[in-house]
Amino acid sequence: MILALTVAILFGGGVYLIQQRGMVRIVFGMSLIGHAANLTILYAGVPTWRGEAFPDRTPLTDAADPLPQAFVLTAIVIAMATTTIMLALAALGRSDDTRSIEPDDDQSPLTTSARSVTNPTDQEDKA
Amino acid sequence: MAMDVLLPIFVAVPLAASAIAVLLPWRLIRDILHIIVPFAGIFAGIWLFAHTAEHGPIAHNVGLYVGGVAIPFAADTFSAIMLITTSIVAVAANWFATIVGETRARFYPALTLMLITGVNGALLTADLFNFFVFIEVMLLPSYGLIAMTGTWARLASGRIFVLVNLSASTLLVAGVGIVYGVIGSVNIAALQDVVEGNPLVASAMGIVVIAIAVKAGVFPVHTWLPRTYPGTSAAVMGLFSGLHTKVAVYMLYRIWVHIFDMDPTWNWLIVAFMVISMLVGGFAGLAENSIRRVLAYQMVNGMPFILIMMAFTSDDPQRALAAGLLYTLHHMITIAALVLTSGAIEETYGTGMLSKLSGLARREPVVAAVFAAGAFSVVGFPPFSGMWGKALILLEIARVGNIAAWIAIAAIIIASLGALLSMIRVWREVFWGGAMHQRGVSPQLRISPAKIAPALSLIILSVGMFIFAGPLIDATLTATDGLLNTDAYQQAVLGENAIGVPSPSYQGGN
Repeated sequence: MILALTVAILFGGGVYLIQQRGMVRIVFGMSLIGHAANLTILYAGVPTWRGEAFPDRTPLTDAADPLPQAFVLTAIVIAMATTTIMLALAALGRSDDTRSIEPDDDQSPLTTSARSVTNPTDQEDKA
Repeated sequence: MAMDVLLPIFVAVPLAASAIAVLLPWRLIRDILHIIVPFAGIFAGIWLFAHTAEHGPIAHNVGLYVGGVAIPFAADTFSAIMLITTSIVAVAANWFATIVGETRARFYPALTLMLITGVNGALLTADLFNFFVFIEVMLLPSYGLIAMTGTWARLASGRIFVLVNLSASTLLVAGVGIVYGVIGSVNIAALQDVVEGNPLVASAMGIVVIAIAVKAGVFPVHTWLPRTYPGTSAAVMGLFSGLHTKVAVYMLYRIWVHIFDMDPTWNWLIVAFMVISMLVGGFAGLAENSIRRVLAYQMVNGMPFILIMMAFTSDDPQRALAAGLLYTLHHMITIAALVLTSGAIEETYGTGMLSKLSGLARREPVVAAVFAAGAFSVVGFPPFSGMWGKALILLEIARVGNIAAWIAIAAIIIASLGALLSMIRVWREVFWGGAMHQRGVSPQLRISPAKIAPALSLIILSVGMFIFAGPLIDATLTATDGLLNTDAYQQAVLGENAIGVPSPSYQGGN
């Protein structure tokens, strides 16, 4: 019950945060949702408290199911990597997540189209 | 030696090549590496197809653990034919990336090779959790690729892409966990036919299916696709168009056949969503302002043509799914060709906006011909692959002949009309109209033949798929025969003394 409530609170908080405008808040929100998912997986395999999953230390009747723990371990590693990427995206560019200063696609300073042509077409009339 | 030990090599080779590409200081060798590895993948896929067509599905448990608790790789003719086609698209997209100088970024080849690793793994895994892992292997380099080059909008697109895919992946892993909680296994072979009469598993698998549907880009979870793909560069979009969504389509087919056992209860649900999806995709492209944005909606338009075949398997599942598979192969080749054509235009004229381009049909007869061919193919006119793709889909739906079938046929025809109008609009704005040099474009500027060569090769392949439709249709029939032979797949994956397989009467719950 407590685990289910924790999942609900984490999920609710995550959903609230990813509806905010700033990218860093969205990153926090996604982390919370990731935790909620991990606890869900744990709950799927370990409904009550069980012993560690080592047959020589815990009788198999009391041991926890190791597979959901392996799932969660993998999911945590992946979530950490994606959090890093999202933080990098939050730091890229200007503070565009709070102020909208987006130029049109075709007048973009960062455009890489026509990079292999010596005399790009649009640059002249803009300059 | 049993051939199944070769399966992990499909993952190991691109993974190792990716690591080598990170280390190598010579651009030329990196460029060769990221073309030659998927090129080798084509032939490895053909070998796999021939082998599985003759000997039935093969499977390998990593570390030789017993079936049911191992990490399984499995291949049948269906995964082999998808491997071949994804490799072809990857070769064309990476070839284009090399020509336009995309690989000036040092890690581009390494990231594409990592992407191919994930795709090969997702196509060969027989376990839902491993599918999630390989999807992540496929997505992590994509997060880098999508923000690497492109217009300013790529940063915004990159954020949307990461957030949507991360949410869908989180949903997928939670769904997989719940499936494990209710039935005790996530091995696709062990889960065979468990959904029927078991609402708990049906709801758990429903979460997994919704997550995969997000990645496939079907209504109502398609909106991210046309807002992210056009923001990145054409080479990356070409790569994504053939690989990302089609892996999701592949997995939906496999889940539908193996786990849902093509239960007709769900047919109306599939038809309803796919009909809306194809209509939205067909007509929404009319409101877009650049070539690749229109093409992105052609992807939203094409995906439901493939997936709707899941609802018409009651009469002759082998031919129905083969029609969907043929359309999948055609759609991957054609959309990649169109995206790379648009890329050749953008890389030369500096814009893909419909309003800034005009009169290309006179300037660039070859490029115009390639684009027209691709447009014919995507709408379904002869002499291109799209005609057989659409014709077979319509014939197989008509074979069932109930009310849902007639609704689906009507929707397909109306949606194709929308696709035709979108393509005509691009043609009229970009290829017709006044000459470009009236707008300050140098009259000598031309698209170099090297830039259009990848798209041209794909279009020639599309013509080949039209002319040699007989052998190709036979191959898709062999592929769906392999997909439908679930007992052989189960036998190959689980082996003789599998453990941890839920018994047919187990209703689940803790």
